[in-house]
Amino acid sequence: MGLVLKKVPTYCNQCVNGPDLCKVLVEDGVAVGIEPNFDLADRHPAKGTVCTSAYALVQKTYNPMRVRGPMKRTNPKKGLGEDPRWQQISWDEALDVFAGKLRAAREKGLLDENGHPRLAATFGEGGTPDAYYGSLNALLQAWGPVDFGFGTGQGVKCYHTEHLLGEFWHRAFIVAADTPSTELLISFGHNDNVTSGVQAIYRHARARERGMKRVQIEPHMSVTAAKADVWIPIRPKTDAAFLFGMLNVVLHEMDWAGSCDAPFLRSMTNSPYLIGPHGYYLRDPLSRKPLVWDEEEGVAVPFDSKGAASAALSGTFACAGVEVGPDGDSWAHEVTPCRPAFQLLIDFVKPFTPEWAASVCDVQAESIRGLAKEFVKTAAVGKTIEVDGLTLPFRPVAILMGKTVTNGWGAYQAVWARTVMQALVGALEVPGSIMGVNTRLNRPMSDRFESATIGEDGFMSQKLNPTSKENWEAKPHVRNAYKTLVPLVLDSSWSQALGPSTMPYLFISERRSTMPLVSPPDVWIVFKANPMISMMDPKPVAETLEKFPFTVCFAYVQDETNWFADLLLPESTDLESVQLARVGGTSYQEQFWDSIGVAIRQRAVDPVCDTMDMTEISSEIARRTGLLDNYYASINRGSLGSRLRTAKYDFSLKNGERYGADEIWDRVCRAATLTLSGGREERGLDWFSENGAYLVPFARINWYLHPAMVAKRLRYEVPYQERLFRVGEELRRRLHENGIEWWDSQLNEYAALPPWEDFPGVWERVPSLFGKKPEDYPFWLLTTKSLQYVHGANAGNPMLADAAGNIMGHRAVMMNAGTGRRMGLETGDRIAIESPIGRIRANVLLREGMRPDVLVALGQFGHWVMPVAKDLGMPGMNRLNPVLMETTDGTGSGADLVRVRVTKEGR
Amino acid sequence: MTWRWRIASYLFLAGTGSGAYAASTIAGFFGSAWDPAPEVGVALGAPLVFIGMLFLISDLGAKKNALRAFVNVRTSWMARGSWIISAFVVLAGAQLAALLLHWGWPSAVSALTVALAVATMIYTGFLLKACRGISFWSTAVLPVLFLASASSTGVMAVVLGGAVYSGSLGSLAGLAKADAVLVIIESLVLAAYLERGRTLRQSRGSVRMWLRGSLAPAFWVGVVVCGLLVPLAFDVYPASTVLVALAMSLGLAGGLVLRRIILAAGTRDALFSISPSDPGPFWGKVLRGAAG
Amino acid sequence: MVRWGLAVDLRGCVGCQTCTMACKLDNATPPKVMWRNVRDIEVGTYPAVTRFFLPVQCMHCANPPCMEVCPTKATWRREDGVVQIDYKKCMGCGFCVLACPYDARWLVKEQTGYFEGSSPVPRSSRPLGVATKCDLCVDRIDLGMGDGKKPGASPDSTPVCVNSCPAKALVFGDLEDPDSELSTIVRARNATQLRPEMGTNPSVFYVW
Repeated sequence: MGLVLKKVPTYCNQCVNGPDLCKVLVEDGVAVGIEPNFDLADRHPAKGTVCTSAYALVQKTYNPMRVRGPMKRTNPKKGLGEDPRWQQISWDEALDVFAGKLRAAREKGLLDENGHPRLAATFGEGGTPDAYYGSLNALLQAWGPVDFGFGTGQGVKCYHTEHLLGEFWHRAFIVAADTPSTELLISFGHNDNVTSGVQAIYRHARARERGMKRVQIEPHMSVTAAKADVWIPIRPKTDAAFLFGMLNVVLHEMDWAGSCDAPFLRSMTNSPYLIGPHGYYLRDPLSRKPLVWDEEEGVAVPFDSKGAASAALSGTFACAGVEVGPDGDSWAHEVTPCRPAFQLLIDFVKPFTPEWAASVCDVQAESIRGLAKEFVKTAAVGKTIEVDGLTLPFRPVAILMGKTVTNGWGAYQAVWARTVMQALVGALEVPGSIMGVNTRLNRPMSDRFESATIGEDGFMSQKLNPTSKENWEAKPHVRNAYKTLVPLVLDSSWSQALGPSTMPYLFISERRSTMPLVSPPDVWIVFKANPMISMMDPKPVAETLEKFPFTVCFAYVQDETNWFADLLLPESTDLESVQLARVGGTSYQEQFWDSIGVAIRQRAVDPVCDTMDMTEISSEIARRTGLLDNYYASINRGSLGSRLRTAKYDFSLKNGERYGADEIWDRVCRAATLTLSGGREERGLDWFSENGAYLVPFARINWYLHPAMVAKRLRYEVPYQERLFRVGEELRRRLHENGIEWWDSQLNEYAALPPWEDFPGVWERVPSLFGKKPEDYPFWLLTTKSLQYVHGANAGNPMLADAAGNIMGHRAVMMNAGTGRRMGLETGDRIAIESPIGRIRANVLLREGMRPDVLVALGQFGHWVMPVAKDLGMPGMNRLNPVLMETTDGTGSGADLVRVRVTKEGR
Repeated sequence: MTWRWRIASYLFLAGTGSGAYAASTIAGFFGSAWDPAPEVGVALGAPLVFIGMLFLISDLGAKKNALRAFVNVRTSWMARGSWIISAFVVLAGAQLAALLLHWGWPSAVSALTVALAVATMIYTGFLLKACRGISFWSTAVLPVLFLASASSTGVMAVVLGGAVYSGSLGSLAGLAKADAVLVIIESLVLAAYLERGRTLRQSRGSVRMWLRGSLAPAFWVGVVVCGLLVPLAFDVYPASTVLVALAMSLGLAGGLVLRRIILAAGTRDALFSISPSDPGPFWGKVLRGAAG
Repeated sequence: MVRWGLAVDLRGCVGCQTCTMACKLDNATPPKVMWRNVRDIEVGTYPAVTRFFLPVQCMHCANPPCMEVCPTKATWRREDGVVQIDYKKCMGCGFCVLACPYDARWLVKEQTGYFEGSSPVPRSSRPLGVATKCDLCVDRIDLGMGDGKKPGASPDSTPVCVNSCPAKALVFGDLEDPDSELSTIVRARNATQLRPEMGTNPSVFYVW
């Protein structure tokens, strides 16, 4: 006896909401418990707590099914039915094999015959790998071009349209509500109490106490809907229609001039910009600046002139000007009728009455009408609030949207209508409203406000991927052709991964003549990703993976993707390795801190298996591939989060030397603390091992972009999408010039005012593409997240399975009780769910909180290799969801929904 | 539920053994016309109850503490029962030994043993009744039902035992007639038990399990047909010794099934009850507060 | 006198099961055994549906039915109101498991563990085959009291479920102390107990 219990501070960033701070309880080198980090409770948005995934870390570490050492494949054939026949090897051999393949690829040239990188890497788990991959990033930077475009669910299934357009409109790659002060939250399937971490749970619990009203609009009653004041079961994929109805109420049934935020619309949006007959801005012939109509003087003036303060929002005017269209095409008008963008908006939403929307959405018109009015009323246009000494508008209304609403066809309309609704009352980037977070595409990565630089036509700059004749990327430089097909995805650090990441699988598995020529990469690295489970339709993925000559998977347990690997490298996991990560500031939906800094993840326990620290692996591979100098240079430049050499200090790694993981991270710790403290404090790894995190205050004013927009005299590029309209035309020309017509329907998304189309119909018609009758597939199959499994790699954790089992829908597909009874079903019955491409079996759970035409399968499951997970009996919908051009939207995204039919199989 | 076949067997054997002893001894008090019933009852009583005790002990999670079963007599029916059942086994066992050794046995002690036997028949009902969170069990009808069932299965055991022992029914036919009465009483008590269960919202589900749900085959075939109707028929029309013996065996099986399905249907009541029309102040807040 | 108790805010609880996990880990309970867990409850008929989450655990009743039925006196109630099980006395008959109206007691007779018992952690020194349940983390309370740390205020002497709750929906404290945060909540928010008609008088109170 007499074991000493140590409490070791660390972080949990297993899901995208982290890092959260906690402590590992360690006895004799063995982790025996987890607890919140109470030392930092007052600085953490959820008082230092962590969720189930952190508590699962202990069992995760001691899972006897872990890959216990490096493994090499001995079965040369790859395929679903081909057992890899793993053979354990030494780390030395494994690293030699890996480095050898890399050297061989490098000798052939960094790019293959199609101009694509010979090295590809896929990271899953929504951006969390960088909190766990040690210095792998530095290794990849040292290497040179890497193809990050093989998807694993992200990009095609994430909040894709919202990411790209949120970034475009208000630097809000992630759109968040100002939960601490919002008074009305309208949520279209935004399931924050499940998906937004402990911060959401804490902040929303406080918001409920405070009396925030929440309206949840979604086809099934999620955990979050359970905490809402109102649940409106809407028909899938009709969210945009609901919002169009709300816009109609505000602009046609209410006195918009009296209740909306006209000064905001006039000075901070493109509402007053005059639109010419071709649909482009009417510009000043000389300066080419967009014109607005000065109502006082009765003349058209440039948007940034003095007279713009009295710009008209509505009406029809006549003036001279020039329109500039695609490829510089221009139309000069002596005198032309023109209307402000806002007038076009008013006209545009006219047909979308609440009654129309109600019939599309299968909801009550009065719900739409009442909600629109309540939204405007609660926004309390004119109110202000003081934040850190600055007076800001206070607009406590927020509309949030969740997955399947913010991606796939109809998402553009929904995200646009939401942003316009917010803009109508000036509820953008101000306290109480919606805003972005520091996680973005636009550089610099460290500072959101600096990224909002002055661009064209009064808006924030935005370097859309070029569509001009000279600069359009006709030959994609990576396999998913993101630069070629998606201007909005930009060309930033994770633009590749956000591209149309199903495409590489399609390009390889089913070629069409005008598709880009694509060959498998020579070496593919997979970390924290399982695309065989998380992508839609695993079939093309499997067909692609079979063809890969050399796949290295960092592997915790065997899974469906590393089944196809040549080499498994079991890295030291969460509690077994060291890394420093950024925390605080603003980073995700509910991650709004009043401090900012760095936190440590450290070796809290003795090793359990023959694993290796990711930083050590990366250093060794760099050395064995002869890239050590480049690797050091990348680290010195700051690829681990902080520059190791500045004018004030020098912790840089020296060529010719060799460094262990601790030495490297000790330098990062010192550089980070000196930077954060403005040179006052230097803390090494030892200090972090004791204290866990180094935090400095982060002023709340930094939550809101509004002051920066005002200071830089910038406008939000809403409601009129003139630039996208123009870019879309250019893209159409480029593609057609190159004979590409398979992207035509995607080009329809480039509308200045995005029209309603029958979006549910996109999926309802899918069976006919397979020669089946749509009416034979009467149900929608949707998915929703599980908090307990929000980190997908925990699917094999049996303790989590116990806990998760307390929540409805784990281990079953959920169905409306009335529908089930009519079909003669009882809870627990076995059913078959069939789409045109497959059939899955599941137990059914009948419940009342479901639309009668909807089925819901929780999370991303359907494992057949991963230990424990494969025996859970949790069905996955991906096998039923085909990857089709018809269901791929203009951003390259699909959605987790498919039409199915259900038959009873027994008890 | 925690208690399955072993406990059902214990409930059944304790009831049947003590029932057999009580019925035959009482019959014996009325004279020699009922021979060899008293001997059969003595022969069966202690051994059956003792085997029942072994089933109970075999179900214990920590057998080394089994002797602590006697400690809490003040409030625990399990402890009270432990004394009752042990005292019965000791006395009835001694009587059996005396019988085998052809010693006499004071009828005053027999009377006391009969009292213990009746207590054994009843207390198992109080045992389950003490589970107040299980409405299906928590009723005074249950001890009565157990008494009725233990009486009828006890008599069946005596008839069966006597028939096997002597190879003919003989004077046991009279006892069988008595059994018919007991089966009818048991049927009435069972009906009352179900009626009470049906009227209570919390136990309605359990009754449904019996009548129409997963336990319906066990109830209708096992309890009603095998346990009641078949014995009743052959009690009234004892066609042949073999058939009566078979009928009694089925009746006994029915008694076991009855215990088993009482345990199986003993589902715990909901932790709260919300009446939509009158949810009360607290649950009303929950209903209004959560989405809907 | 002290009577330890809990307030559970049903409005705050989102059913995340963090308390379930924290409890399982701290108490090393075997598979399927959850001394505390959060039920997911739906009432009503589509579309008028209410869904809420109900944390359930040993209610540490003032009149515990489990103690009443226990033949061995293994179940006892401390002066501070915590209902305890003496594993050295329990014979594992399971009577208390059935008698508890709150479904809060667990009896596991066979050695089981996650991954067929092949995982070294969590490990427990509890004997097999005895009744187990939430002990309100009395070891923490007692340790804290010994160190002068106030239970409920200092995390070291507060039950792990309370510490873990991200919604801060659990409040631990002394029901006898009229000024404790717990007593104040119970009074001010019209707290209710589960199945009050049982006469058990639980120390766990629910508020909305």
